[in-house]
Amino acid sequence: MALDVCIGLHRGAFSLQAELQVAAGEIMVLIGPSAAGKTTLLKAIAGLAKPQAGFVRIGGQAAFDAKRGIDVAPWRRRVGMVFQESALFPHLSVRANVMFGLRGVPNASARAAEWLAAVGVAELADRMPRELSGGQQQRVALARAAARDADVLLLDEPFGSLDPLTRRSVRWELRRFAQQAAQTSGRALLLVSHDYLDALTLGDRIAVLEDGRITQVGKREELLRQPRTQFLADLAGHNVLEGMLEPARANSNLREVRVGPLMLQVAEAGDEPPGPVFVAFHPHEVSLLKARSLVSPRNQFPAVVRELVPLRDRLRVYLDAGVPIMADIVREAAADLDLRDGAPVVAAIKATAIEVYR
Amino acid sequence: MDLAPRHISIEADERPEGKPWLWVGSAFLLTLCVLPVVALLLAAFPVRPLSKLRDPMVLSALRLSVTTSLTSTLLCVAMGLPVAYLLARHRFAGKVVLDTVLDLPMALPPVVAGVALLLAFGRAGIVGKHLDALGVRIPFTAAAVVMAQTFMAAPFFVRSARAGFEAVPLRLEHAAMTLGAGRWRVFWTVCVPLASPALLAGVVLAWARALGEFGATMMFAGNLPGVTQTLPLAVMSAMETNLDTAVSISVLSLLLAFGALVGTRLLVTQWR
Repeated sequence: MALDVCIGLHRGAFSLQAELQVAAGEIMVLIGPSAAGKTTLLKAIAGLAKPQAGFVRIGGQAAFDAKRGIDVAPWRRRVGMVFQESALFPHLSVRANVMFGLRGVPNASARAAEWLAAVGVAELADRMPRELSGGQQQRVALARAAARDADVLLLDEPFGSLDPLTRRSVRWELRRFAQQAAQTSGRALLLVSHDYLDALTLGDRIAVLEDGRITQVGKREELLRQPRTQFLADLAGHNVLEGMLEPARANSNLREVRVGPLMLQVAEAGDEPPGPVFVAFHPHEVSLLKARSLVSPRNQFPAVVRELVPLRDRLRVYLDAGVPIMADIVREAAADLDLRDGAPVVAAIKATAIEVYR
Repeated sequence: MDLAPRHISIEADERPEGKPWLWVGSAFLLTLCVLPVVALLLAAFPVRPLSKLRDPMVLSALRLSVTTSLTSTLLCVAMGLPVAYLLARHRFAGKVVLDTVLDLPMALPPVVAGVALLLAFGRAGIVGKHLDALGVRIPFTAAAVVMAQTFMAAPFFVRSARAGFEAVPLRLEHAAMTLGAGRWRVFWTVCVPLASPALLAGVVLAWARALGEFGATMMFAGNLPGVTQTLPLAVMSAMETNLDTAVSISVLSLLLAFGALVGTRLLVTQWR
């Protein structure tokens, strides 16, 4: 069901003034620097924090309304939430954890098993939480929140506390989970992150929360084209290209993505099925060479310099390699390479530096 | 470049092995605590005094002690649970006052507590005189024993339970709420099970305190054999006439306390 939020919440020096709409079945990513108020906003939606002003409407029904004096208790709001740190009940098995939210639901056990399977931990049902890794615990927490027929699902950086390597591997699954959870009975899904790749890969739309204010909301392409704040500008400073993931090849961990005329080798696609994907990499991951090198990165391709933009400490080079690509280099390197508009160069990028997502 | 690990291993080697004076201090305290217990057991060893346990005075004191101490422990739990949770989870005006008042019985000499109870619930007490008008008399009854024990034991349960509730992460309660559990269900299915080792420890402490309660009971309930004479009071009465009886009751009390401690420890370790 649709979520409609407009709240004012003040606590000491901190103030949150946020307005946000998430449609039924939509996945929205709420992104912003730490301490921007993301978690507080989620808590206000779930009823775990009380705003001083405004309203929270779920499917048109007021869950909170300061003017009308409505404040529905969290347990009656039908809002599911996954917390940053593991919030599994340590004294209950994995199955009992999921079934905690299914009291009085017929076929609760089957439903629990279904969602545990959906997040890939079906075989852990009889374990205790302390026997699980951090990643497994959060998967169970996802299943527990989703198994309940909540109208709104709030995910507060569910994999934020994992190490970066594990995070990469769960991003695919998180997206699949989010889609499944959103499509099931048309839930609105709000996912908090401070990671730009989550925002780029997971959401239908992105909302940016900075310093207690929503500074921008929109589809990914809109936000990246016209960033209104420094935070978004940094976010938008990434190369994001559409491509086609080629079928996996035997005896190679690397996969290939066709991007325009380029064939990029990538390390992070696992055994995903072939099809349309996005690739993303930071401009500082792109290095420029005078000519092809034998020792340098796997991905090398000829490009033409289109524009040079000095940034604070470096130079951003806009390249045309059949597709537009940005590269950040130090100024000294620019002199060595004799970079001018129209100059031919070789752009190089490591296979491990490229993120792939659908 | 491998300075860091070497540094750590040095630290590990420097773990205290026990300074001599630490051991000396421990030895003194241990002697002070263990020697009397040993002496008590030695006095009871010729088994002869243990036959005094069949003395009707001892039996009625035992029965009274068990029933009153269990009743007052139950009361401590019933009244202490909400207070402990309130103190652990909520901020409110006068919290410091409530906290201090609840600790008072631990610092108060029990005899003084008994006098205070008399002044409140005695026949001329501020509440007692109204109760007396209604025909309800509390002092010098088994009810007075229970009240004196509860008064003295409650802080022990509340302290322990509060610490137990404070150790339950708030986000677990929040998670339970978003899973549709109301406050009542959250309390009984999340807070209580997770705090159970601390709750159990509190129960044992409170019960032990109730069982050993002497001063307040003496003042408020008196020393009436068969009515208000609990084991500790029976020991005192017996001391005046028959040392053997006193020793046998003492051993009995020792066994009760020791059994409770060991039992709890076993339960808690099994839990984990």
